[in-house]
Amino acid sequence: MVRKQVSTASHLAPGKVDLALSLVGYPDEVEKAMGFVFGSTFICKDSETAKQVTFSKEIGGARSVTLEGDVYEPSGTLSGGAAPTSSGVLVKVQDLLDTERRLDEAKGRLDDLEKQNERDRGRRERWNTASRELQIKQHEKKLFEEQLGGSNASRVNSFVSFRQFS
Amino acid sequence: MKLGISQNELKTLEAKWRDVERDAQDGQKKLEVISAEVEKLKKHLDGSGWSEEAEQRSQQQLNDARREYRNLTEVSKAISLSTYYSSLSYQEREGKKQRAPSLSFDYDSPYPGFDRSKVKGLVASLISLKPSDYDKATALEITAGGRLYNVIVRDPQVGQDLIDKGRLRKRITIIPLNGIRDRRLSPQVNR
Repeated sequence: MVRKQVSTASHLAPGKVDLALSLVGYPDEVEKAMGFVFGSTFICKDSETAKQVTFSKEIGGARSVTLEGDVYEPSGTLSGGAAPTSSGVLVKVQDLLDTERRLDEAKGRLDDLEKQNERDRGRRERWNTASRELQIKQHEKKLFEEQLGGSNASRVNSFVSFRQFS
Repeated sequence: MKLGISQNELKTLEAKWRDVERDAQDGQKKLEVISAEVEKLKKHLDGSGWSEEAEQRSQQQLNDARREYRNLTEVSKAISLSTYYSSLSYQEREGKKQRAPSLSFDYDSPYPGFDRSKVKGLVASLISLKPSDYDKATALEITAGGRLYNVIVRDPQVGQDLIDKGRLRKRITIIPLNGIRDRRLSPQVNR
């Protein structure tokens, strides 16, 4: 019966009508909720199609919404006019979903780098210790060279005074 | 007499000169030892498996990754806020300033150890659209109407807990997954 409604609608206006539920993507686990929200409304290309679908005897009464946002109810009411207040929400949600996907990726990269950092810890500590030891030793060498330079100077000095007597 | 003094002085000076020479040789030897030690420590440093460049690179990568993560967190928050606000008229916006304005659904855990994965979120925030169907976004928003902001949860008990103890900032309608009447038409045939 319900299947028949959907196939009848697509026969009535081929390419111009979709069940709202078939246009939205969602996680499998919330399928029932999405069915509840989008499962009984047709999205129609134009008002001609919407009228055809909603008032068709074969379909037996189904709500239709046009791309413009006009709503045709089987009871006969028609809503439309000013732009809807919720306009743009779903497109912005796409932006949000995309950002969240990129956020997940960034989190993954950050986690990987932090794990890598943890693995490098031993190497880094060895390197830190070794460079500290090297610095100290190089400083010691420099001090000693200065000291040696000083005693060289005194050696020359002594040599000069020695030569004076020879 | 004068010569005797000079010869004495000469002996002293000669002795001093030998001391100085010996000191110089000792100093040179010690310098060689220290130099060898420096070389050994350099090798040790090279063999540590890490380097100044590695250190800089790894810090740079970490900082970049942290910055990117922070930025995206901000962007995601900003979109949540702007999405909700733009869905309201000016008067509604003024009236709702005090409430939590977000596409993400905020609540406190009703009890310690509450499994937050039982709360799936707002209908709107769970919907993905193909770019080729963006022209149908308005129609879909109207189709859902206020249900766009309904909260999907696993079962009626979770909904009850949220409403009783979730300290909700605004009035919400809950859709319990295993307690909702499925009134959909079958979409498969329509493909």
